Amino acid sequence: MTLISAAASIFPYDPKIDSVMDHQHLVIAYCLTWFVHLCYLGYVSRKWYAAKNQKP
Amino acid sequence: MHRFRLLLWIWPLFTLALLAYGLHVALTVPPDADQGDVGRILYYHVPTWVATLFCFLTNLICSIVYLVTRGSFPKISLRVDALAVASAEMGVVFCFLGMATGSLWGRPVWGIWWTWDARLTATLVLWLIYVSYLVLRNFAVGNGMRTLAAVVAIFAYCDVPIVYMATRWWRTQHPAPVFFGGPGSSVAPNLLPAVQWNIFAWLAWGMLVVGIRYAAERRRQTAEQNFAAQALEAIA
Repeated sequence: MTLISAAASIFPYDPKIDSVMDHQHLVIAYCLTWFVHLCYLGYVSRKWYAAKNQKP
Repeated sequence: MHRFRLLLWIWPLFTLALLAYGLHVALTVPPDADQGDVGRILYYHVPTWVATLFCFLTNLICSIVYLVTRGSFPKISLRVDALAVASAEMGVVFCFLGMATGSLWGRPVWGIWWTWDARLTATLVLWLIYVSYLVLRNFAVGNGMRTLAAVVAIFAYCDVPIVYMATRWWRTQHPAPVFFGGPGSSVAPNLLPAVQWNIFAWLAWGMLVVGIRYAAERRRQTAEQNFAAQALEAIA
């Protein structure tokens, strides 16, 4: 949650054209994309190391 | 070989640079005139779908090549099978993110998280079919599983044209195609770089992660073959 709050400051927000929900959804969409991709990269890297160290 | 090793170092750096630049462009182009800043979600949403389609197309091609070569060229068939599973996994991740970002965009713009229209339903079905494909691969082993998985992959891909054409064939909540959608369907010229750079960036990311997953699957296949050979020697 802290990470999302910190990340929120880099996302553009103009109260004249954006609602609070618009901004929240924008931040969540970008953070979710990066989070899921990094999680999958972690899973793939773990598989790679496991296969590398596999004994026949 | 030396050049290949160099590429292994350059490609991740190149991908990270593209992703960083893509993010920078996505957050700095002017806001959409109608939607405001929430329209920036589409700079990740559209590239995610382009990457999904590339991953599933790779899976289809590999599955067909596997079925053609499995009898006569076993080494090639194992390689394409490894690429098939790697691209399917990446495609499932991209597909999930496409639906999630679409939903996060739809709530403020449409007022709803989800609707059972033709495009969204066909997309959910597509995701479920590829998840089933991966489940099949995880819970079965051997050449029979690979053949069955390749056949399932071919059937699964039949849903991709339906997903793409759904907005033309039926009236849907989802907007009409942005690219290749006929006259007046493109993105505004000042917003186009954000979409294009993120398409390049996420395609590069997809290729990088698929490459790592492919390498892992190849190592697993080799270990499996060595184990089988040693077991045969022990019996003999």
